[in-house]
Amino acid sequence: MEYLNYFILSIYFVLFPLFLGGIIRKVRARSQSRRGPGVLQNLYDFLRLWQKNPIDGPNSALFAENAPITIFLSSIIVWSIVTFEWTSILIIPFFLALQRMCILGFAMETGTSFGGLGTSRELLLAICSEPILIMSLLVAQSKLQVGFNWLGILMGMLFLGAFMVAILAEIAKPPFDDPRTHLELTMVHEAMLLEASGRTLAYFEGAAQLKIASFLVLLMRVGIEHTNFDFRILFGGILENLAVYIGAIFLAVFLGYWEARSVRRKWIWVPEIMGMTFLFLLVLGTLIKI
Amino acid sequence: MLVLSRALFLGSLVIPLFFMGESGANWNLSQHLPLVMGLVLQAILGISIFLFSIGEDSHRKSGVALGYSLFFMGLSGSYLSGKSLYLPFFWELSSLGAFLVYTSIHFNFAKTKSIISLYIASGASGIFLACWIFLPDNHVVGNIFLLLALLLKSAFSIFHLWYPDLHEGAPTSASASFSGIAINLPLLMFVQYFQPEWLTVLAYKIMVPIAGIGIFLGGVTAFFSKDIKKILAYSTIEKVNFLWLCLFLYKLWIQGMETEMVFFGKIFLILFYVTLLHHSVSKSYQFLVFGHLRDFADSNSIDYAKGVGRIAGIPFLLLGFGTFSFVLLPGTLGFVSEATYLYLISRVVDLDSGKSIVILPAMVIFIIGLALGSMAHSRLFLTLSLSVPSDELVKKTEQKSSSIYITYSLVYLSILLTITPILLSGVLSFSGYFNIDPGLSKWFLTLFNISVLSLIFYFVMIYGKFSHRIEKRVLWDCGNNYRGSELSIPASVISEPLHDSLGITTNMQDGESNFDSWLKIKILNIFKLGKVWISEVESGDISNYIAFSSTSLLLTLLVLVIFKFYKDSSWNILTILF
Repeated sequence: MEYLNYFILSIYFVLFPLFLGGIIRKVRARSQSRRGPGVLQNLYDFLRLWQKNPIDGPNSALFAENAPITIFLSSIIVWSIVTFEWTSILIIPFFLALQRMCILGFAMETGTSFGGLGTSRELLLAICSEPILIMSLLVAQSKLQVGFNWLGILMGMLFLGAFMVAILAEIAKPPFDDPRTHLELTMVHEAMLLEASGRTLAYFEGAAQLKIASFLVLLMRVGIEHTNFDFRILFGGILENLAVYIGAIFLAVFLGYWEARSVRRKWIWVPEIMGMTFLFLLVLGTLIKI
Repeated sequence: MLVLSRALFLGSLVIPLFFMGESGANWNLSQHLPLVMGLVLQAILGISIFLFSIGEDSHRKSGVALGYSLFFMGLSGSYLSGKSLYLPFFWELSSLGAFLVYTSIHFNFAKTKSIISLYIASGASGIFLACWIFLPDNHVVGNIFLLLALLLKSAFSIFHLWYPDLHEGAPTSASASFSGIAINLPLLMFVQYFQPEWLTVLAYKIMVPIAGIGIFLGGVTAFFSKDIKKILAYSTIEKVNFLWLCLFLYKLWIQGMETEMVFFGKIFLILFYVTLLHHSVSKSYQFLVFGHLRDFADSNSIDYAKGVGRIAGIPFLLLGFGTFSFVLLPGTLGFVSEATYLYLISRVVDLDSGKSIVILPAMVIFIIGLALGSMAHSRLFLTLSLSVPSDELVKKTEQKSSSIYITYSLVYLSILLTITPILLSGVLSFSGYFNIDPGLSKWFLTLFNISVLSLIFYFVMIYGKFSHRIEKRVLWDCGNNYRGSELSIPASVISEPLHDSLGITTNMQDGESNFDSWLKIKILNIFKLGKVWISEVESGDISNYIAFSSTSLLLTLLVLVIFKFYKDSSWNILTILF
């Protein structure tokens, strides 16, 4: 049963990131009464870009050469930790730090005002979201269990909601970022990648898809593993993993709808909402512990 | 003379290791680990200071080398003296050595302020140490003096006011020595000499939040500061407070009766050593790199010096090694240190609810300070090394070049930064000495594996260039032939959007700390008390002068009488804490 579980997980590992981002795009288009691209469009875009040689600016150097593939590979590492749980999830923030350093370095190295603007905003988001993310991962790592009753479910949902706020900031979604626009007033992630082209852009976009898959699956895993209801009593871990991955698809549908119906908020609002979320999570964590 | 003084410099780093037996200390790690660690770290990091000082721009090279030999002799002597009369002597000898280093550069206001700060802190802590030495063993007041001396010298929260001023005007190599090497002395002396029972549980519980405030304020101020050296100074304050936090928690829990808390106390001691190593090596690196860039641009302003790294002639990768450690990339010393801290907190979460509810929120809030501190280093690196320099700066520095010895010094430290995480996590996972818990050993093994794999990964990435190799560069001309310097951003653009929400209560618009400025004014007002008093009376009014002097005399007598009659009860007040 264990080998079968690993086999199924390997299938998830390969296939899931290929279409999860596509589901978000499809649902977003449908919510706006458009047909939208197919669910594998991100994969096609990746393959198309990967075949093209990048063009480098006059200031490009170390980060332009190494950041794209480093980000891509470290995203695969994070995705493998989430899928196979081969090490503690407390390691994840450090690989996220590696990704952040690489993308910030790439953006600053190009020396454009857009790169600088994106860097400034990314750092602000990082400062605000990192404590929430770390606290959520600490809880996820612990042996805390919420009861399978109405109070437990309410507490768990509130916790996951707060965790989702940090995830939205990490995966560049509204209300913190708006990947649909190319306006200097709204861009964060896109602003940092304006100078990326060809294979370089392919690696960055591929890493973004892996990051989305990692966080959505992680959120579901935290939710399911910390309830008193033990999914493992049926079919070993297979049922549990099935629940996690189906849940992640539902989250992707929700995210597509959310993206279609929301906009990016102004910057002065970001630290306030993040601060409030952090305090909320702290109080909630204490209550769950009690 | 130059050769002799440099030989003395190198000798002052290595020779003290051979005097350990003479001083009563030995290589037995279970007894004298703090002393061994202090001396070995000093010898290893001192070599980078030696190389850097050769390449540093100064008009009295032999004076500098002699100064450093006295400085390191003073530090070594302080480690080895124990509770003896030699301690304050060596303590002050290191300050005298630092003075000689200062004489190699032209004095200005910032440098004068720097050396005065050093002498005030060193002198006051030296006096406190002398009091500890002259008082009998285990005397309550003596213990208080020892603690005060160590807190002051290490720039613990509230006692830190002198520290940013010290770095603002210090020569670069001296700054690195103060922050990466000298600051270890008071912390390690605390581990070696201060017995857990010398402070009560209540006192430890007061010190822990003060250290926590120091972590937060240090991190926030480092992030918003606009002075290159002050950013690193506040980052040091943040890290030092974290180290003190580990020590206070260790001494608090190690004396308890509960096995679980004693275990946590021991882990906090291990975390202290790991973080101390990270701080020493990485911070020395940061001070040397960014201090050199500051000297190259001849400006303390982080905004003015943007992009100076591109024209300083130091290889690109070398500019970032220290920052990579502080932003906690896998495989760095910072990663080993912070990952261990996270592991510890995760263990605290699983404690029974009564204990974890008290400890956990504080631990998590400290993460904000640590996160801000690491972002301060990102901000430094991104703008000084990666941004594009202004035409004015390029023109000003076109005649300058960086000495090859500075590059040697950085290469030496970068090798240390590369191998230390593997060695450290390897020793912690495989050595029986630190094997206090199977879960912890397994954790260090995980860190060891990730460190090894990450370093192989970085090496292959950088030298393999699998992404692509830059062959052709194209300028995206927006219509006015801009080449980057007109559009590149300074550091303020990164920090200012957060000022109104996060920094408005802690920092002024110019990046200076609100709290420090307020505290300095209050302290100065105390010194100005006599002035205020005199301003109240007309000059020459003898009766008023007599009245004031009589009042002062009576007040002094009153204090003495109170202490005389209520001696026992007044000491009782102290014994609540000590």
